[in-house]
Amino acid sequence: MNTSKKSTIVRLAALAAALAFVLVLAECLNSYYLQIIIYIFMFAYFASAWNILSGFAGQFSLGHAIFIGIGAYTSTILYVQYGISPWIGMLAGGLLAALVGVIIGFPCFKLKSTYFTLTTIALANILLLLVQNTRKLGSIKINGARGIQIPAVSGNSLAAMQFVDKKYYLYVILGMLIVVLAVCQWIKSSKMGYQLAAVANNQDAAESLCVNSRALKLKAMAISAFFCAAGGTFYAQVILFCNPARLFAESLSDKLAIVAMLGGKATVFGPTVGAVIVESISQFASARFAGTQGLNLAIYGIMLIVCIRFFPDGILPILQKLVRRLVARLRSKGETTK
Amino acid sequence: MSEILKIEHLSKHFGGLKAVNDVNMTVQKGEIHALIGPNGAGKTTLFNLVSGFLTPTSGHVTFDGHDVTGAKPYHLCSKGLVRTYQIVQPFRGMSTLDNVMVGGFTHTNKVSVAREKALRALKITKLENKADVQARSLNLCEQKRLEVARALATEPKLIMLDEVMAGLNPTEVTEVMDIVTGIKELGITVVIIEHIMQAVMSISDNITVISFGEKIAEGKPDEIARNEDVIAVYLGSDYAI
Ligand SMILES: Nc1ncnc2c1ncn2[C@@H]1O[C@H](COP(=O)(O)OP(=O)(O)OP(=O)(O)O)[C@@H](O)[C@H]1O
Ligand SMILES: [Mg+2]
Repeated sequence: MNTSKKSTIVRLAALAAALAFVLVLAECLNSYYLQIIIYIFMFAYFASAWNILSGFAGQFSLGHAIFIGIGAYTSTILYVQYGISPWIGMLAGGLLAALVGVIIGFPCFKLKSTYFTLTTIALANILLLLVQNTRKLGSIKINGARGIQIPAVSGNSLAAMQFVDKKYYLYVILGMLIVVLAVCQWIKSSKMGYQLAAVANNQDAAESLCVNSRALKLKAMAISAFFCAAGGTFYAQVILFCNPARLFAESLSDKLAIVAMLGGKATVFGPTVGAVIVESISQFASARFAGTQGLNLAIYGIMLIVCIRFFPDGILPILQKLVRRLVARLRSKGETTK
Repeated sequence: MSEILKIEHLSKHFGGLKAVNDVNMTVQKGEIHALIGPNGAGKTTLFNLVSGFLTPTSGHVTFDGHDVTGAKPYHLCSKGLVRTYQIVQPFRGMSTLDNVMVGGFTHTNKVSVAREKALRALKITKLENKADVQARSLNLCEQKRLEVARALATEPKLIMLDEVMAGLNPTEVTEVMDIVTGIKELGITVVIIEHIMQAVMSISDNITVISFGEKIAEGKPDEIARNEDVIAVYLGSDYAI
């Protein structure tokens, strides 16, 4: 009891320190590095949202760009054509994505793991093609493959979620990341978390222990889709552009999976650790070898293979083990000097 | 005594194979009722039908006064009917305690309550000192007991055990027998599939024998041991008195 309280305090202190570090960093860095950090947090956020369905519940999706795209398009269309603030659009997109997620999950959760994954890939590609080939949906302009430009406003506008000073984007995504991590932590330590882990481990056994696996997976899907879509709105506001090739891309879906798995899926902070590693390497590579196209994808591929081969549970569990060992060693040293 | 489980004219056909064929069986509240029969007789299939993992081709299952034919497993479990697996199915990536806590959440949303129920179930199954061990690193005997512990944590009225003693050595078998009689003493009805005859004969109140999907005998252990049909198809002459 006492030790668990102590470790919670230590954890909270570490988080507060990390937060303070980032906020100080935001003041010191130029906009190029700020942009990188914004992307790291954004992918930490996306991968954490992905992890709720694919890590916690074990339903491996390679089509989560569907939800990112839905979020981005919903808020962009509402803003550009109806003048509605992206904050409201974010909520609307999230709810729409949750609904779409449930509609997808309803038939697809009957499929066993690999078939579910294949279906998500197919659905994401179908949606990409549909958006690329749709100019108008009734009175709504989709603009097909050209995408929708978000008109820039001048200065920093909270209502329009547009900031000339990049550090405000950092604040927004940091807030969103904290929310999604808190949700993950809450899920993980509640009944839902235990039941999701049971389903991810062995669905039949879970069912015989009173777990309604279908309902549970639909719930995880809705939450995961909601947060991904909200992140989609943020993504669109950062690039001020909404185009299918970027937002519904297969490579985007894959990236969420890679980031989360590398960091440690089924853990709360794994995706965040993964995002720091993957996004730093990928940004460095694209700056250093700007001419070589497709290099990013090759790097993701190699990282994924190394990860699956050598640490299938991800990097975070290994880091935790190292830290624990270090603490134990320091403690034993402290005792011998006493 | 009143009946807690009633199986009427239950059949399951896989194509041309009649895995379970027109079986009738009644389990009384509070008893240990054994289900025996040769390999492939349809015992596990009968469990799957009763616990909702298979839908019967025909027939009815009544549990605790309600018709539950074709009900979903999680529904049955919340009504108090739970089963374990012949081939153990632990949640491999979770600790023993967490495995059992999944069962503990059956009638509560509170983590602390589920943990208490799980710890109680671990005590009954003598696994309390393995609580923090990953389920994948338990040995077979412990994994079999983990199956029982998880089921117990759901606080069932009826627990169905599928070969919880198979593959265990004599000492371990005695241990599990004690656990099973302990469960009965808690007021929980037990239906048990088992091949180890000494165990079956000594702990059960009633025995149902099936062969090739059909019930061939039912009765007290000594009646079954004397039954010529049962001796012919299953027990062999060793058990003839
Ligand atoms: N899903 C299925 N599809 C087709 N046939 C099946 C299926 N499940 C079981 N069977 C067949 O039904 C028959 C009864 O099998 P079951 O597993 O119920 O036997 P059992 O009495 O439990 O045997 P054991 O003592 O070996 O565990 C067997 O012939 C088996 O091959
Ligand atoms: Mg069997």
